[in-house]
Parts: sequence; structure tokens; C-alpha cells
Amino acid sequence: MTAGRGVVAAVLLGLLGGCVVLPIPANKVTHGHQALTRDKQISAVVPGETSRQEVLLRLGEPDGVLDGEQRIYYAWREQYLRLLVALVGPGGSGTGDVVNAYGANYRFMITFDPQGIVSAVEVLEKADFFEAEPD
Amino acid sequence: MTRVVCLLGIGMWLVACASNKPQPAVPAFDLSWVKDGVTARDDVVSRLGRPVRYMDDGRIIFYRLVNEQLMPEVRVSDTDSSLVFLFDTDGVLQAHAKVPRR
Repeated sequence: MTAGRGVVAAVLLGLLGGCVVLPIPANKVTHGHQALTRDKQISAVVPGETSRQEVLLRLGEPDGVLDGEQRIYYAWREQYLRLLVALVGPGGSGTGDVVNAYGANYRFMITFDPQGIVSAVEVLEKADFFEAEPD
Repeated sequence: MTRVVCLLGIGMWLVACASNKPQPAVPAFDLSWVKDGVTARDDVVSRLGRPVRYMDDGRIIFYRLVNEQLMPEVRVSDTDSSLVFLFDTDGVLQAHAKVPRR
């Protein structure tokens, strides 16, 4: 948006009042296995090489165990944007609060073969809106 | 006037220092008694209590830590770190780890 359009929008908002949603970049991990996203933890799990014991000693207790321990997963949430909802009154007065956030839930799925060696890995992502976390 | 401004400045600096005083570090959860190849599964369970999760027919057990304290009642997603113990078929510890999640 050009500066001119921004000024026009601000003036209109000031005159009309209303509700404005402003996205604020956040980019942080807020839930679950936050350490998993650091230090190349995911790339250290190599199909055909890494054993179940090595995975568990490196990543700790899984967030979920599936199919009779043949598959496990670790979960975390990343917050991309915080959504500031501003209530603007006539003349530009108003208040604002961060009430919602946009991000994604992730699952690092690990499948083991019958010998207990990693046979496949996959990162699943599901984007969604969340209640905002306090800073 | 200058003295007042200086005193105010020093006062604000002192307040800022006081509010930024680092909190004392929480002592790390004591695992000094755990010895791979020596510690028995029964010793671990008697000291730490019932594990929160078992895998591999009980050869792998887990505990949850929050703020360096055992917290079996919290969800795994809310833990700061987890303790992992791997035992052999005779119940002797093969390996263990304290894994950070934050």
C-alpha cells in the first residue's frame, strides 16, 4: 500500500470507526517439543540407520505412540502471525488487543521397521488459527 | 538543578539494575546416582516412582520434568524435559538421557 492510500485509509477509519485486524509477524514455536526445531534434531533421524533407542534418547518421550509402537510422533506449534484487533472510534480514538494468532501444528512422524530401525520420517503440517500466546 | 537531575538519573539506573537482577538458577534434577551398566530398573522406579510411559515391554521408561521437578500429572506437551531410561532384558540400565523440550 502506498503512503497516500494508507493516509486515506486512516482518515476513513478515523471518520467511520470500526474494527481493524492487523497481522503482526511472530515466527516462534509456542507449544510442544520446541527443542525439536533447533540443532538439526530432525535431520539426525535417518531412515535405515537410526534405531528406536537412539531416537528416544535424543528426542525424549514421544507426544504420541501409534500402531503398537511401530510409529511415534513429536508435536509442536509454530505461530507465524499475531492478529491485533483494534477497535477504532470516530476521530481515531480506540483500543487494541492481540486475541488470535495464525500458525501451524506440526507432527514429526517416525516409522520403525520390525528390527526397530527407522524406516520412514515425515513432517506433517496443518495450518490453523489459535488463541494468542502471551509474550 | 543539575544535582537533582543526576540523582534522578542514578536512581532510575539503580531501579533498572534491581529489576533486571537475574533469578537464581533452579538446580538441575539430580541424576548423579544413575550409572549405565549398574543401576537396576527397580532402583529407578523406587526412587522416581511410577513412570509416565512404558515402551518396548517396559524396557524403556519415561518421566516428565517441569522446572527440574518430576511432574507425572502434566501432559507431555507441557513438560520442560523428559527423562529416558533404557534397560536390558535383565533390568540393568543400558543408557539414559535427560532431553530438553524447550
